[in-house]
Amino acid sequence: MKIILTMLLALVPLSATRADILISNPYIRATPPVVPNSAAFMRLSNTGNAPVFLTSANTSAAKNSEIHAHENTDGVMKMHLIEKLEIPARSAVHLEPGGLHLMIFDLKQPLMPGMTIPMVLNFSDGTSHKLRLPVMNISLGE
Amino acid sequence: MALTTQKHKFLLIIPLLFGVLVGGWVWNFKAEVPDSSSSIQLGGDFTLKSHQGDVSLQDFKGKAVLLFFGYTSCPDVCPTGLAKMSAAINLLTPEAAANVQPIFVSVDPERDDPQKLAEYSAYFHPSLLGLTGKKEDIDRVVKAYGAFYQKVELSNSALGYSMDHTTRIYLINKVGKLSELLFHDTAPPKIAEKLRAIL
Repeated sequence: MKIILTMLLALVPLSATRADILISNPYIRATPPVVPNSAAFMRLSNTGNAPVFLTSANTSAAKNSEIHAHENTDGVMKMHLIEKLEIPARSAVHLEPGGLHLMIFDLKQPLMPGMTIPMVLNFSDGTSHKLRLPVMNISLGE
Repeated sequence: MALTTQKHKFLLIIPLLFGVLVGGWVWNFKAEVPDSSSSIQLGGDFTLKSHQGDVSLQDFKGKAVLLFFGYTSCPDVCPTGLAKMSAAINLLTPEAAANVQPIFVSVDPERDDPQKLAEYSAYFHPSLLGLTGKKEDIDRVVKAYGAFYQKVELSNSALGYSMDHTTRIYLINKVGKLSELLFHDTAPPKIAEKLRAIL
């Protein structure tokens, strides 16, 4: 009985932290002085067999964070908010300049290279991921 | 006889109708996409406001000008475009760079005043000039350059509204004529090469 209980207990944290979502290369853009907004980018991979949705993001460095998408229609860039971002099973979604990004509003202070920003990403499978995003200068993407 | 005349009249109407239809279509086509077919006619002088007062394109005769439309709350596309313009200028020799005037026109005068634009622009490049003005003045420039922008309310967003906008970089030659349209994601070496060619 004791052994079974121990085994069960051991399983609990395992299932809670089982990471179907892997986050790589997260960063947030350094900001010009008069604009308290920035954008965060990263790659989200889903190693599981079911789709997972990014439902929200928050950071103590700013008031609000939203998931935004861009659409280029005949040379006009249109930006819109999305409620949740699907990461399909066994695939990855890139948040990158000119496409998807997390828009960060009302930063408490300008972001400068060398700083790191804490962020929590919440997913539809109930997991939350804590990460630290380095502040980077605008990528020029040669 | 009377019937034949009527028939003739009717036959005459057909090409006429066809002409009107084709003419209308061509006219419409030109009105909708003025920039793809007739880029030579786009552009021209304009006057807008900087933090130091009125600035006209013709103030920069003898310099190559890079012109970009956007707004400072734009989280991604505008910083990318402006950073690329700046990086391109930094790839030039100091003598050549001194003969390039980068300009950022804000289409969001509600949120961007000339002072704010000056601080924003300086962040990207010391010579980047931020301009804006009254909506009708901005609209005139936007139209002359075949650009487009639209205020879009974003429900549920802390941004309130965004500005959908064209993201071209306009390359203007030393006599103020539009030389070429580039895209906001054109690589800096490519922009630098285009600049060298018209300097």
